[in-house]
Amino acid sequence: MRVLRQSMRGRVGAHDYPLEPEAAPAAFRGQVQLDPNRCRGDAACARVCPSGAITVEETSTGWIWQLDDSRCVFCGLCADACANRAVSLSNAFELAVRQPDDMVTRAEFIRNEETD
Amino acid sequence: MTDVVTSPAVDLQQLSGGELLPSRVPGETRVVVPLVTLPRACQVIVDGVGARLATMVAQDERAETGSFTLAYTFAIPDRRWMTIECQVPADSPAFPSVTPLVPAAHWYEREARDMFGLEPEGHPDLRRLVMHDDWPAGVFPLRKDFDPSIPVPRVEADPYRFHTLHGDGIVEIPVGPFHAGVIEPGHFRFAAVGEVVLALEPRLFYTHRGIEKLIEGKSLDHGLQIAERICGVCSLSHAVTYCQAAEQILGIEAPPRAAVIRSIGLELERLYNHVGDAGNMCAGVGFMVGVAHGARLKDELQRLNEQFTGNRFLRGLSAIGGVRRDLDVEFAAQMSLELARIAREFGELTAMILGSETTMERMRRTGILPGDLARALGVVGVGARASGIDLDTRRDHPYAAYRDGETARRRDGKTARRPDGQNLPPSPAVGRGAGGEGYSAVGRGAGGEGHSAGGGEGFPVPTREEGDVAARLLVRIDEVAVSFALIQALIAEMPAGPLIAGWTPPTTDAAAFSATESPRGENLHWLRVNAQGTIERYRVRSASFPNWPAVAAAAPGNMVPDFPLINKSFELCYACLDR
Repeated sequence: MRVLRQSMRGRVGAHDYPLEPEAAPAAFRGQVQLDPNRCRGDAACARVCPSGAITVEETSTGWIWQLDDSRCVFCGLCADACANRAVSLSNAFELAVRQPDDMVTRAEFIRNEETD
Repeated sequence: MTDVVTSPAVDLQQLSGGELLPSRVPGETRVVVPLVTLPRACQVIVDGVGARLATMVAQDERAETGSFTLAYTFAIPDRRWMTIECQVPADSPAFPSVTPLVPAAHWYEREARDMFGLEPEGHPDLRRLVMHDDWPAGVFPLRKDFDPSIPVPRVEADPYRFHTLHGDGIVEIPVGPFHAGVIEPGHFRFAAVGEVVLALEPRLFYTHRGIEKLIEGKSLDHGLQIAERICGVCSLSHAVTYCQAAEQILGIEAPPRAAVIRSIGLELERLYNHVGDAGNMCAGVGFMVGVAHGARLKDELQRLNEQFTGNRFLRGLSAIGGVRRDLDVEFAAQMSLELARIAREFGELTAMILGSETTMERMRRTGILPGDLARALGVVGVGARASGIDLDTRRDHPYAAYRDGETARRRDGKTARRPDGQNLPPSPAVGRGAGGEGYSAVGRGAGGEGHSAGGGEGFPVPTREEGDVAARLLVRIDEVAVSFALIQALIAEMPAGPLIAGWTPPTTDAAAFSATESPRGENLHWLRVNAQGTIERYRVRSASFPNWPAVAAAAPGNMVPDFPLINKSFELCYACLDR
């Protein structure tokens, strides 16, 4: 077989991950990413999120966008729902953290009345 | 719709003696019968037309009609469905058990007892099934008045009573629920004399997550995210089954391109499962080279899944109304090449397995599931086909790209005829020749006859008569060849057009069900939405549900050390059984 012949010639079939990094394919749905310049705080992402991973909270001056990776199921509905293309699913899959709090990404926005 | 038999509703209805109800499911005859005649009506359908019990759905409709509803759905061999319903009054929640007449009903009725508190009178085994010992009596999680947000205090109770055998030299061997490997939890209680298993009783449902309750009140979109995660290995089958049920409720259909993409995905799912399973079965006999190569090829297939859908388990592909991702020409061409290579290497792997006499010797005549027993238990999938039962949902209740026009069109243009006169689609480099030598070791003749071309439908459904571990391996190997060929044919003729049909949330109460052929066999999802557009009741009957009792039935008479092999050869899922 191809792999047996390969390894007999001294070539190892497997990648030496994690020493040799492994890139995810382009279509991969990894960690949710927010482009702060595109976010308008309309909370479409939070409304479609089936697991409550994304929340958008209105404040007196703007809004707080928050993502909890521990709740995310990587379905990508948020990216599909965002009319401004602010939310996307990146290729990041190495999501281990040391503290539970590090699972949460929080972005606070101040509403700019002139541009909105 | 019901194109095979003209006016099907009349005879099935007459046979059952019930009163006709409307149905949204193509080919379904739905009747309601008085409670007392339920077992007889079910028996008449099973004996009269050779029907197989496909699911049973209990519902709590006390708020609307003052009663519970039971619906027994049967698959009729001529591609129809038959549902027999009855009302169980709320003030005396008991019904005459169907199990003594139709044994396949045994687990369904025990589950209805656990989840709804409906007492099946005359059922031979009234022990708990889904809810284990520490669940309090009188608490029924699928009743509408059960609030899942309030924690249920667990109770001390008498331990589960296993069936025990007594006699000189009989030893009881408890195994599990924790196992020495990364598998799911299940308890197996063997009674053995020396090496020989006399009886096996499995205790399952350790991973019951209350999915059917959890999904109630959710929107159809959110429901899909849960349905897709019922289990890991049949994710897409569950997702497509759910979507098809929802589409029937909404009165929409996935566009042709979406149907083809779904079928490609479903065949990829079958491939990565069957290829991995062929390797894993070698673990049962300690043939580790086979295990390693099976795992390697499975991983390559899963990488392909990931490139295609963004997920190794094909999650996120199916959506209600169609699919969320397209298969572009460039990637399709790449996938076609990759699959041809993997098919070739799988041919080498199967030649290696089938050529290993010590491996095959362990598999032959091991874990035999007799055909009549498989029929009585309503077994589906590979387990049924390896015991001589010719069934495959793709042919018997066609969906996605397996529907009449589609498969017939492909067959007429592309099917090669094998020397024995049986139809098989072109199999690019699947190493039939290599496999052939091995087949002879298990009885080539039987295998040849086993390839039924499928009732004029032309969809190849490999079957075998032996019912042993080897037969289940060989059926898988043949199905892999069919899947490889099918994907190539589907890629070659992708119709253009939209990927998804639009829909708005339903505004009337409606129910429907749908079935697909997952790698493990027929999956059947029953779905009902209410006028608010949210899910009212959802019943998942995965292929593992009717097949687990067959595993226990195939074990007696074998050696204890062969049980892992027998279990692997059925390759059932705990997560989608337990839900």
